[in-house]
Amino acid sequence: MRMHGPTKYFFDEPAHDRLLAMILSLGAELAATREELLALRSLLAEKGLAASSELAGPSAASQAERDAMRERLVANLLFPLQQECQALVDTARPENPA
Amino acid sequence: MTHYHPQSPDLAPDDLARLRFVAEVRNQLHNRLVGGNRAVYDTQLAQPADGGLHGAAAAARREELRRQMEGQPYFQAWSSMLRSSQDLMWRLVDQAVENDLPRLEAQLTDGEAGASSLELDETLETPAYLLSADTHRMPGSYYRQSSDRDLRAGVLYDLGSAIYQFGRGNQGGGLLNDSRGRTTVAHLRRFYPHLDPARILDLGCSVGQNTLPLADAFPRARVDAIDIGAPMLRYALVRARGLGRAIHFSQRNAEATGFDDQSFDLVVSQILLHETSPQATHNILREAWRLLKPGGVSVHLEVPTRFDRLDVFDQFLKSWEQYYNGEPNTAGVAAADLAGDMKTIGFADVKAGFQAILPPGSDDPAVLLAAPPAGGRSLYVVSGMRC
Repeated sequence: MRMHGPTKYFFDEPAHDRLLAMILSLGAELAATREELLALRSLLAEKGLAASSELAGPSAASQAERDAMRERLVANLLFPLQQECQALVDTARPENPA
Repeated sequence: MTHYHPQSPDLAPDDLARLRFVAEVRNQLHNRLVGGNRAVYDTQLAQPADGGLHGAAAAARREELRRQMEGQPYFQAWSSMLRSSQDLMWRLVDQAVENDLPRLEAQLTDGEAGASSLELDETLETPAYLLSADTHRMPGSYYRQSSDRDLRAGVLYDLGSAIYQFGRGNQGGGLLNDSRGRTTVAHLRRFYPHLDPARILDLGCSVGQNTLPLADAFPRARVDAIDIGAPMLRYALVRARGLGRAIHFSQRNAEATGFDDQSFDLVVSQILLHETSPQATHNILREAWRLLKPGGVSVHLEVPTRFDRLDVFDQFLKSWEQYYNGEPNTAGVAAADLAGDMKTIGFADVKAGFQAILPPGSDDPAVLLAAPPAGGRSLYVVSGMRC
């Protein structure tokens, strides 16, 4: 079913809004792939098919590890926005440099 | 595959991973990255007169700030990401549940009848405030349906609203997403300890996420729950059956329910009013009064945005959901004097304040605060008794 209602394009060039949306979709696929990879590594180590050192990754993909991986992935994805945010906040409060 | 309650859709691990990603994007936008907008305002747009604005003058300045901020590159990028993440969330939720919809539809007719019930009214008109845009940009909104067995809207909402809460940093309700209902119960236990309702009504119940805690808290009561959307209510029935609860769902408008005068002991709405209109908000408070027996209690929960506590920039920023995300009355309810309106309608001993959302299983007494608690999620709660 299609969404009914107005859609605001925030950039002067609507293609920029669509580009950001595509990047977010790509990020979701990457996050899902990374979680599957963590689970696979964990399984290989658990079954003794490969030593965890050979897999060069976490030996057991706990929920906490997956959460930390996802948080880092999103922070990296949003890093350009974070940089701009920090610069604006620093300008607004020059007495409190980050 | 993952079930988060007995009648939830089966979720594949990779679908769940995608949804957790969207929630994390939203969490970082709402928490780590929102401050850039305030910095833009402070350095470029703030005016000395902004501090003293109220009422219509504040509303006009909010509109002006909206136009000014829409020209600011940081606000453009932040808003575009936030809105894209909302649309992505619904698309991913839709894909995650698609394959399981036939099984859930079959539950309508083949499932254990249980003690819950459903009564639909095909003649009920959808209120005008829901027609202009799909609420929360959920495709199909609460009411559009493709057949008389359609429950897609309810399934989308059940999962999507939980992911939305995760993205606001509110994990308290888990995927059952029942933290509002538990907040209502905590409020009643603390402020109306002698209330032992025989009949309870939940207005605008959606899929009944927050109706269930009421049924659990008052097991002897008959619990009615109403909503405008037939596909929401079909899924609400399947969901309540699966969770083993007895709720009587019916398709009605909370402004004029059609129930008899003085037929309930407890009437609640839980995050309904900001999805209506200023006039409907008043009508719903008045309808709750009409429905209550003497000695009955009405409780209304809302998002904790109160314009009288915010400067004009934060008023603007907290109106984002209304401007861009299909919420029809966010600003209206944030500006409304709900407690004053309840007093005018006739409620006695009206209470109003911010109540912390407690974790599941907590026995801590509810406290009504004059300001939202720092470092925790809260709801704005108003309640009163019909004497």
